[in-house]
Amino acid sequence: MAVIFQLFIVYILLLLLSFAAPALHPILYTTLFLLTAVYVLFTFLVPFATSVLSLVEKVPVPYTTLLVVSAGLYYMGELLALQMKDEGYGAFARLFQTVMKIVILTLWFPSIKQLIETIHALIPW
Amino acid sequence: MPDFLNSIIAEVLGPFFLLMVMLLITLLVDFFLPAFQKWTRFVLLLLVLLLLMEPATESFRQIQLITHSIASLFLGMYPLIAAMILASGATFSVVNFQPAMLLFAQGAVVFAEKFLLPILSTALLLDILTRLMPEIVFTRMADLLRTSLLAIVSAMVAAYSIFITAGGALTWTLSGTLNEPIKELIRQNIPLIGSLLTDTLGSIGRYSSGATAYISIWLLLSIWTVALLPALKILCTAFLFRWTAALIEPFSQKEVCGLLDDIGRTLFVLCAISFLISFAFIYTTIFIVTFIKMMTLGK
Repeated sequence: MAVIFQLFIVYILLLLLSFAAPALHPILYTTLFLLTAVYVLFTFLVPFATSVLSLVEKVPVPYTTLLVVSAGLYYMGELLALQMKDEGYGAFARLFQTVMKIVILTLWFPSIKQLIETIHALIPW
Repeated sequence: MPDFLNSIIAEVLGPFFLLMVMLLITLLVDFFLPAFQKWTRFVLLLLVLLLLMEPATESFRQIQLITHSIASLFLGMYPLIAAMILASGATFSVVNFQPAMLLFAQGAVVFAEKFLLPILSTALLLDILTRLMPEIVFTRMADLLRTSLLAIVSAMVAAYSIFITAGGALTWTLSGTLNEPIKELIRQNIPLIGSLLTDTLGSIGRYSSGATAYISIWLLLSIWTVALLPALKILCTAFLFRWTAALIEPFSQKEVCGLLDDIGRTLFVLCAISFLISFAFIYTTIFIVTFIKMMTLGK
């Protein structure tokens, strides 16, 4: 609950800063954003993901972990890319998103390989 | 014994339960990250294929193995049987078997191995492709393949019945009124292949009840069990696919339950093909058992 207020206070602080020091605003925005993002990530998202995973820890296959981890990675990637876009670096954000997609796909590569082998076993020639 | 049963049940039902847990988690992820939905769709299809292709391909592999071994058994046995028929002379006319029927039964097995099974796996692959890439649709093609396969199999079963009734020596001794409700039950409740199933079972029953004069009922029963067990297992797996599809329909993506339904339908056709093979197996086995019995009695 406290974090909601903290986030709002950071937001107001940023608004004030944009009036007080417009030239410094991009760097201050990025710094504050990163600080807040890391804070929220480690106090909320990571514990939440772990508790979701502990719900299904008896499941013998690694797919749930893979799914939750890739969703988290996707979320982080989108968040950072959005921040870059805010600063006007759209191309950089696109690059970042592509790299994140490749990272997520790399996580799934062993499963995709296994699937291709299973389907290949179906073909008799 | 309970452990053994448990492990079998876990092995069969496990993937389906796992799929449901995965569906729950993906629903949760979708709720938090609506933008991730494209990914979850892809991941779910991947998971369905990973978890559930294994039982399906296992059934295919099993049937391929059985057809292959029966076909090679026939190739090895045929000269021997021919020699036996030649040597037996008068005994053979007592049994009143038709060598053409044996040829037909085994020809059906070879036909299934070389032609029917590859076509069926093609239908399955087309279904998977359609679900993976909804823009390029092969549904009609897969349906066409499946229905024509079913038509071929039913034609073969009809040919069997003609052969058997033309044989003369083999008659239907079990009371018809007793079987009618069971037949009706099967016909109504098993989709796609229900009527085919009752026809096949009727043919086998007609045939083997004629043979009870020569071999004991227990031997007959064990032959039936051995021959029909793979087909029954495939039937159960197919039903599991259909049930899971029905169960997850309200809360899963359309593709997932559609894919499950398609795999189930393909497995039903596979079950029909496996009945064809079991019939060939039953025919050959009973033929050989009766033949050897007659030979040894005659000498």
